[in-house]
Amino acid sequence: MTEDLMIVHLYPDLLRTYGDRGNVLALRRRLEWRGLPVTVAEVGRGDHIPHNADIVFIGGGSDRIQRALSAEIDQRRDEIAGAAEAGAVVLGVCGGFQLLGHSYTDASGATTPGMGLLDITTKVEGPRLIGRAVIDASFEGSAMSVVGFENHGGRTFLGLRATALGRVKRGFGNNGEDRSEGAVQGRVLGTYLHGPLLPSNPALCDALLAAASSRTEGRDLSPLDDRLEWVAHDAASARR
Amino acid sequence: MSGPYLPKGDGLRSGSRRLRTLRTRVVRLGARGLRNAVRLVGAGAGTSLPGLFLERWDPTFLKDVAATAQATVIAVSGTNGKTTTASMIRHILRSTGATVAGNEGGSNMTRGIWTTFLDVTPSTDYIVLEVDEAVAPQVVAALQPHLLLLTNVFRDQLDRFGEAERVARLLGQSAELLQESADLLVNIDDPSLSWAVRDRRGPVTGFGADAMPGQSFDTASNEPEICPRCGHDLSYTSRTIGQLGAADCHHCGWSCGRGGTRAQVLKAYGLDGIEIGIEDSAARLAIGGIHAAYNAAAAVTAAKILGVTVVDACRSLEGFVPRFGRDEVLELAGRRVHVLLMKNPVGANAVFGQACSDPRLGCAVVAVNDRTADGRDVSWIWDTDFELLARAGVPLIPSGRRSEDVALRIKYAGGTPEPAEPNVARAIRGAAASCAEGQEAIVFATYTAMLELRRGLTEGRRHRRVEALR
Repeated sequence: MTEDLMIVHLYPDLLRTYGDRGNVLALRRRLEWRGLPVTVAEVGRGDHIPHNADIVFIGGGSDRIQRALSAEIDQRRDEIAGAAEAGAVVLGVCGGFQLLGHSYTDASGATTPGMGLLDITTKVEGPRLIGRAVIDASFEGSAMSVVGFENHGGRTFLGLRATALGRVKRGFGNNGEDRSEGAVQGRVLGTYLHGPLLPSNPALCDALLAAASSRTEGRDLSPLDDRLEWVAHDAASARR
Repeated sequence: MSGPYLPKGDGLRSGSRRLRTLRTRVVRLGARGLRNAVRLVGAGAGTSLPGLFLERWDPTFLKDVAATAQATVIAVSGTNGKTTTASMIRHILRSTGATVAGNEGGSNMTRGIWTTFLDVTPSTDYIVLEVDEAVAPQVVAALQPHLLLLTNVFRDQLDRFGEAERVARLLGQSAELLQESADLLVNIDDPSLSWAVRDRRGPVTGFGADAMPGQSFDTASNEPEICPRCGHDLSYTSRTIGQLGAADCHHCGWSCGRGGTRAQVLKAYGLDGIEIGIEDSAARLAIGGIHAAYNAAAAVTAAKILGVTVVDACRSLEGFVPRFGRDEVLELAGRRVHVLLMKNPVGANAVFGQACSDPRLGCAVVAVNDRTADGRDVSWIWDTDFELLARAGVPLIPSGRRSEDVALRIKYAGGTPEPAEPNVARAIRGAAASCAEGQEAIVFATYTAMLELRRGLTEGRRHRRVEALR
């Protein structure tokens, strides 16, 4: 018997601006369709991160919600860092991406510290960057095209220890300047692309599942019928 | 130096005023002509272009008309329910014999509102306007309505507004700009809205709605909400849709208020509407869902402020016929087809719930477009309860410009999507044809998908006529 793959969803009721549940749903379904056992643990305010987490997902919230969560996230920092050190995949999208970095400076100039799991800093500046985006991404050695929609006021810049998740083919990316999009540092990754991210990017979803499964024997990611996924991906990629 | 052609002082001013009046008359006549021309060539309802013309050439138009018109101005804004609530208010007021004007075509940006005033005459008693959230502060400042009604704040068109908090701030500003002597009517079940209007100087009247006792709402589709004052969790003693309900903060003691004029859902008839009770009156509405109860509560409370009794307002609402796409019923291939507008998770969940509660549901089309008016970002469909549709076990046809995303959403919800049909009119014909005797089809459509459906169905009729001539 294979052990359940443990997906931890952080604050699903609060960090859920852009269909973030769809990311967790994609991870879960793609295991279920392969007959692999999976558990999704929803972590709320005051809850601890399960010690056996294989994937930790963090979605995005409005500035107001993220400010209200900052003290809470401070308390979870060590638990999430512990999970990452033990080999778990940690994925942050949009606001969740920013939270994984060192700090976030809002429009008023106030700086909130982040979890520091990604060597990035974010500062709100200028108009929001909104629109469809396509990037050439790579994660753990596999290259792929990733499509999505971005909507962020923050400009994110990479430090030396983080690499970009991909290069912008269309859209703004991390800051609208250096054509980098997202960040990867070991198995911790973040991106501004939602849509949500994983359902219409099945290659990325499976790459995350493969990385999260590699610690356990017997989790074979057999091919799935992904025709609908690729139709959606290709349509998004072709859309102006 | 003085001469016969150079009048001094007052004379000069009155001369230029006469000149301005003449120019104004020409511009306004031109605007009316423009509207009629647009209507005549069938290029639309003529609701935007004349307003644009007035904005450009006659910037004082609105102030002048508002100053001279005797009419009472009512403005309705908020995320969901603007069109239905405004048409309900017009319907109630007309049933009292009043003359009512308004932007009934749903053109709710400034130019559509400006155009509405072309129809205002000295005998107009009421002007009932639905106002887009983004222009609400501007419209309130320019018109100073006698009554401002705010329906709710849900996340919607985030590619346009950035965050729902921005919409709350816009509505809060509108409330602040409203004269103290005017009436402000707000949905008191909405914590975001209650907080947004906290700086209002004048009186605030509330309205709300209550579900049928025992009816539970899926909390998975609720909107994120925390105490607007201190950021801790809110506790609800009752909850309807989105973040609406009776909310308190146990940490700082903030409460979103109670009471107001409330509509209680007494009975639900699925696609055939609901029965509601307000005070001692009851009304059977042709539109359904808890959202219809909110709209009715808002309209009846507004009418009450304007001097109509609750009994009369409720009686009038029984004859209210919904506007296109707001629960409208068409007939195609001998089957009834319901058209339900959706534009954000809260509204979509409400209409999904309404449709799935009806055993006659035979087939559903989900049509999602991503034009500017729909919101270019369609990620909201993943926060929408497609699981409910998938469980209904009826054929689901993905449609619209983003039919691929709809198909994918249905798949991950545990359903099996039918082959996608991007053309909405064709999709709904297919749906109607697949319904058995006694079954009814539904189309859930975003705003521009609904317009395409309307156009597609009338084009079909023209085609047939052309074929008959050949």
